[in-house]
Amino acid sequence: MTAETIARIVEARFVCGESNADRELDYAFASDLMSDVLTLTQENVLFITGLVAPQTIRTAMISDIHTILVVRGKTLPRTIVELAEENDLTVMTSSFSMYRASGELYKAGLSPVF
Amino acid sequence: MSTLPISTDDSPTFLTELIFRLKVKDAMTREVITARRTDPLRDLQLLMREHQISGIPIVEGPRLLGIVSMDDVIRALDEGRIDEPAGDHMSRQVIVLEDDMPLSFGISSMDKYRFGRFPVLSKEKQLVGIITSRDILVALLVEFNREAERLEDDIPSRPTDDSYRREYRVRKYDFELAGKPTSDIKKRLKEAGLHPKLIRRVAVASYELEMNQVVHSEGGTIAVRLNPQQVEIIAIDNGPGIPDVEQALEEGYSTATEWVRSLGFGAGMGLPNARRVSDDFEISTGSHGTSVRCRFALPEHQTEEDSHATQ
Repeated sequence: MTAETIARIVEARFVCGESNADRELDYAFASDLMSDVLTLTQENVLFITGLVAPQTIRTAMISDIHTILVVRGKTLPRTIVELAEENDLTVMTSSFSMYRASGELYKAGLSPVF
Repeated sequence: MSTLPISTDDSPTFLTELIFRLKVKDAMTREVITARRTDPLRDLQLLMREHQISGIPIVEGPRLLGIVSMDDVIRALDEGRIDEPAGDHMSRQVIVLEDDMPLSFGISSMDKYRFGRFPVLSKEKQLVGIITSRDILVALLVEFNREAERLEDDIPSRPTDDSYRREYRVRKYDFELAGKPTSDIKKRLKEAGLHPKLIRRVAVASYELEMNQVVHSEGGTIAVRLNPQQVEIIAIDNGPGIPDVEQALEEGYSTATEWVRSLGFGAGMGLPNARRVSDDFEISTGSHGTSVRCRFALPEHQTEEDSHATQ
């Protein structure tokens, strides 16, 4: 499933990296705890989170995650968007709750990591 | 978390270090002019004029109930309600700071909320001070001066052996910059042509150890050492040490505070994660500090050694 399709399903808006919206995602993982994200070993994982901090971006980079879906309508400060852009990440935001966004994407066939 | 008005990536190290090392309590004014909720607003107006301040916390004993700002007083004057009790005019939704927070939090709160002052509470939720942008400036200037003198003697040491080694300083509570050393390490290992899966394991260990130093220590260093046999991540901090290492190595055991958790860390997975990804994991701790060494064998080298052995 591409980031573009995901954005359509959860009514998300691209914050940066829209030009890479055709990158394929095989799995999704939803968490506000960065250490939990760091336990993943899969590739092409969509990272769903409600945490907006520089660590959100850095955790994604370290875990080789290229696409982040920010839920609960959180907005991203400019410095965080810049950090994401520098690292070639695709970031989108949705006003859906984490539960609803996850539910919709699961229903649409995006696999959990475990 | 709100962001600082300066880029901590580009600013001189000693400036950014300062705002993370200094705490709110190091800069705040401890003698706070307060009023009770039954005091008439007119008294508060006089207090503001007398002390040249623009806001007065309303307290009951050591407990903060709200705050009355100059704006509240002006509005009451306009409406002819200046003799009413302060309690009827105070803002109850007060943004406060905790005295143990790094000063960077004070600065980013100033930037975010645009209030002139923030009451400061202790862990026990008692009003212990008040902080304005002026307080922050003064504290920074004093420390800046001290730090500049100290820096003149600070000459970094360089490695002498032929393996690649780089050391990064990690500062207490520097959540803005946390992860940058690990990003650098990751990039360097990629350039060295290591397998992406191995790089990811090293990065996870490095990042967790870095976050541990940011959250729990007085600051320290993260070093990476790469030679043809292995990659090592060595984390050394300046204390205060881990009281129970066995517990700290258990998943889910955490001593992190509420606001650390609000930043997505402190779930008690740091050391367990670092150990899980390492081929070899050593930890030693005492009141002087904690050092952790994670070792990752390079598979290419193992193959090479094996072939040497059979020759």
